Amino acid sequence: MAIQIVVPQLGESVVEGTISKWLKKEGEKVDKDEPIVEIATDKINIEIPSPKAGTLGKIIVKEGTVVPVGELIALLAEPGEALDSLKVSTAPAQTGAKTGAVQTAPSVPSSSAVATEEETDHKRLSPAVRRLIKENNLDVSRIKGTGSEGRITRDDVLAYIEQMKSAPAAAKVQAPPGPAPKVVPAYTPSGPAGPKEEIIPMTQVRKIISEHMTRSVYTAPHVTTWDEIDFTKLVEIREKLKVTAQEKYNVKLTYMPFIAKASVMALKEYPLVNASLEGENIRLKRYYHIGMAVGRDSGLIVVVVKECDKKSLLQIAADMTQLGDKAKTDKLTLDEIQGSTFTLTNAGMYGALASTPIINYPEVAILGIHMIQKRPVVIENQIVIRDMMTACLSFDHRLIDGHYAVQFLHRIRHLIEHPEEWLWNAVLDVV
Amino acid sequence: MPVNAKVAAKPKPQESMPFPAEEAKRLYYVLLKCRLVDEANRKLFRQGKFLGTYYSAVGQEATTVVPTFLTKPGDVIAPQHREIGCSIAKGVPLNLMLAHNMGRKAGFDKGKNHPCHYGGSKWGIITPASTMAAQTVVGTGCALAFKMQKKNNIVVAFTGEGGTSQAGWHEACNLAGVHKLPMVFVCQNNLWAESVPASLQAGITDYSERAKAYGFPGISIDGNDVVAVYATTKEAIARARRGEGPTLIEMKTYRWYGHSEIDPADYRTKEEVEEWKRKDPIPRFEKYLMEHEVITLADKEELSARILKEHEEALDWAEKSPMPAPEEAVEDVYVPGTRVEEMHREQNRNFY
Amino acid sequence: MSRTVTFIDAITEAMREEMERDSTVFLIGEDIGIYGGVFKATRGLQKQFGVDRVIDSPLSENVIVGSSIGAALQGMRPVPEIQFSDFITPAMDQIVQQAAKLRYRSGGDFKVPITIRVCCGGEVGGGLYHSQINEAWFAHTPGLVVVAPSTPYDAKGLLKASIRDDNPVIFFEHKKLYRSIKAEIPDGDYTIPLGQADIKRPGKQVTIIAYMLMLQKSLKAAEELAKEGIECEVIDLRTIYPIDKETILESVKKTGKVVIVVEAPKTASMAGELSAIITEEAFDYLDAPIIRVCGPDTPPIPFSPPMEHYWLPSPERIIKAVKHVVDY
Repeated sequence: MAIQIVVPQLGESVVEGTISKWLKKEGEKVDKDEPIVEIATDKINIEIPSPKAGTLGKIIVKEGTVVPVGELIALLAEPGEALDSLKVSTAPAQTGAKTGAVQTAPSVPSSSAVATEEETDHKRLSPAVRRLIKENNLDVSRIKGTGSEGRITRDDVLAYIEQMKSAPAAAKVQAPPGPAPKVVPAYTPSGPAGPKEEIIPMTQVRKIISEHMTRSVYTAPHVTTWDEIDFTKLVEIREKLKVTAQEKYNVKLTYMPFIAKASVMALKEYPLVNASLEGENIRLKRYYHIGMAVGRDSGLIVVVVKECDKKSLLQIAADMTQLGDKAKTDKLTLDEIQGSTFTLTNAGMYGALASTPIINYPEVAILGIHMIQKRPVVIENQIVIRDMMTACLSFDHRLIDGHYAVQFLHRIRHLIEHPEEWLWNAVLDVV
Repeated sequence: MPVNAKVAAKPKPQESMPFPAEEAKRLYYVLLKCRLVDEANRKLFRQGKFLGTYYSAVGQEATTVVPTFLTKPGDVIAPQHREIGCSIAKGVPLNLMLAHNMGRKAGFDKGKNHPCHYGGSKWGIITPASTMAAQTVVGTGCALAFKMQKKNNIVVAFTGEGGTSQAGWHEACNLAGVHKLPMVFVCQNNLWAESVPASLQAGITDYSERAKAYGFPGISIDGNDVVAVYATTKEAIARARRGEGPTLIEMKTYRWYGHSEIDPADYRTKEEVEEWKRKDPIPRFEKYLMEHEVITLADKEELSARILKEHEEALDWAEKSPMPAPEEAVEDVYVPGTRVEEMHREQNRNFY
Repeated sequence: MSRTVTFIDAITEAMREEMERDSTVFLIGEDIGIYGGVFKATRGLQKQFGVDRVIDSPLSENVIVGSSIGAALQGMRPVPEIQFSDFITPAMDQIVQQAAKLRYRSGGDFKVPITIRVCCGGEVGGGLYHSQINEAWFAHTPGLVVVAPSTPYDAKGLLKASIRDDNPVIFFEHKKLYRSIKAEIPDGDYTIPLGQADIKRPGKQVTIIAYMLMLQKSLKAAEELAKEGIECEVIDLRTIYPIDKETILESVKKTGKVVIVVEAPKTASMAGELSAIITEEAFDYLDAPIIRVCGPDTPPIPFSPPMEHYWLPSPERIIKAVKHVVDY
């Protein structure tokens, strides 16, 4: 019986790959675990090892072809099996169809009856499953299939969603498993609560935040650099714009959308800051999903405004408000808390002047926003009163060097201090 | 001679019979067989040996046996469900008839059709449906073909009086009249269409009158008078073979028992049933034949014994014959050897 | 107050009550008057209402239906009977070319408020001419309403509703159900809306859609499946045309899996239509292919018991189909 070589799950949210190189030829002997083919995805290149010893009987998919996960790409003949007896069907196997399982009286056209290769093919994503995956922006590779032949059933997806919903912040932790923290400080428990003590177990959310922060700090060597940004022009502009925004568009316009926009522009010029590290690979991203840390009584959470490069200031403002509200009322969906490429954290709303924020792993930088304060500064040898803010950028020194980070932050500063260079574009995008 | 001795009636001359003695004997045999087999079958039904329902024709034997007896090979009989007489007259083997009533594979329909639907192409009998009068329409087609093929064959199409209420019957008569088709329409008026009396069936009492509307002769006769049925039908068949067109023969008769064996027929009066039993065609014919010295009582006994033995042997055979296999349900829908049949077979091999 | 009646009793009651209530209602058919019907559905009615309102017709389905149509045009409310669905064919011209089209061809001028009671169905050893249903023919004939109850309660309520409805209704009565099921029905007048399906057994995992005898078989299958922890939602279609899509689609959205059971040769049966509706309107909720459990494509139904048994969908076959979609 020929053994099928199929495209395996290749990483989170990957649904297809390209056959980049066949490492063996048809008719060539293959050992168990020996790599047969190399498949490339936009996340990762992977070699597929042979499940058994045998001969590579038939290569079904050529190099350069894009194949979905689960697709049959080759047939491996077991020792002693004739190569020309290997058959391949092009028809997707659905029960009740003409081929295969033909029995007597009145038998059910069952896919389990005759072991046909056609029917044990790619993982079949039913319409219900596809819908749920799309609606919830799930990574199908993370969902275990309990249906026939490992099919992911609707119930499997629903169970996965339930599991995710019960600990939304956990989604962040389930991002690509990076290297485990190398050094975990050991804490020695010191017995039951004393007379002036109380022992409270951590909430699930707290546990997850704790794990996340630990992972981030112990994975990425953090360095924080800061700059002082002159917000005076922007303050004036915003004071005027916020009125129109509220009255005409019912949108609350804070400084965050401006900072987000400035960040996006800077990120385009300093792409490493928008990237993530995977082992020895750098994943550059050409999309700009800005995370925004939101404090809640139950614990911190980062909401994500997607596609900030494509949205207008007003849209970003509206999104931020909506997400903030949803965070507070615990109505966020998975999609809304996943996928950020760069994060803003605003400690200023609580009165902080500066901070050394922890990077939102697996991103490589985070921008701390603080209070805008009127301070005396020197401009052209004069002391003047300006609206100033200290911006603190923590960055992952594995990937980003100091000068790069400083220049990136400086670019943000420049953009905020010179809104006339870019604001019209942002404004004109208002519908 | 003793004083009270009965003077035997002088035998009647056989030449006065409309048939030669030999033929009369054969006819009698078939009539007797029809009666005895039918009664025996009724018993079998009550013993649970048959499946489905059983439609007896006891009392009306002459209307089916005689016309069929008068046909020749190549002629077509188009019956309904009470025409057991047609099959007996054509020599359809009893074992096949019983196997059919038991739903066995050996039945002419391989167990597919309802009991009492005897027939087959071998005997020139179109396997019946259960619908009324449709066979008369089909019969016109057979007759048309005979004309086109210039064959000297004819069609005898049977209905009850109820069947003549169907539009199809009229349309068949109409076509037959237009084209002078070689047909004989036999209408067995047994006064009851299941529970519906003839008075509610038609506005006329002599159904033969309907023939006039279609341009051919009609005649109403005593369907329990074998000799009359013989003479009338013989002439009608000759007419048809001469190309002079169809004849409608209404044969007045009566069925002794219910529409089917599960019908107590209490919509009829006992008096009516008794009256008609007295007109039983078979003893009447027996008397006639004995008067003409064609048969004796001994003959009757011998023939009866022979028939019942044949029936018993047929029963034995039928009981031993196998049921059809379940999968045979999907066979015989289309003609084998055609692409259509192949596809049908393939598509119906499996189903939920 | 309520009492237990058989399926056929419920039908007799419905006719009696409607005839008592509305003097324009009359019956016509073969053997229905003196005999009370070959299954005794009209027993006692001629005695109660007279020969003018319970008419023993000549042996002509064509005339039974056709004359009813004419009477309906003149303000009567006829309830003709077709003794066996297999014998409905002589009446097809009247049903299709007259009853179904009169309203349409007259631009809404005429209406045909007839209810044709048709005795149908197999599993009685009826063979090829006493087992057919053919509901698909009529569901495919716009202008007609097609009703097919599965329980005594539904039979009574639906027959009354059909008689009161001004559209021509083909009302199927499955002969196997006549005396094989009994149920409690309430005293007094009640009707059931046409075009409304009924969930006879709620469930979360698989939707089974069926009607008449097949509904009863589906319930049996569901009972067995429940013992194995498989909860089926059994929908009784009740009206074959128009189809209650809402109930069906809601169920499919809940379960994602569908088995349709129809006592008919599979090709071009109602199962196909139901399946098409579901794929068209609930595609994104399907988690398995829709399975149709039907008879094979032969004239329905071959007589001899092994073949009849082979042909008719059974609880075992339904269970098999359900398990297939559950395990899919």
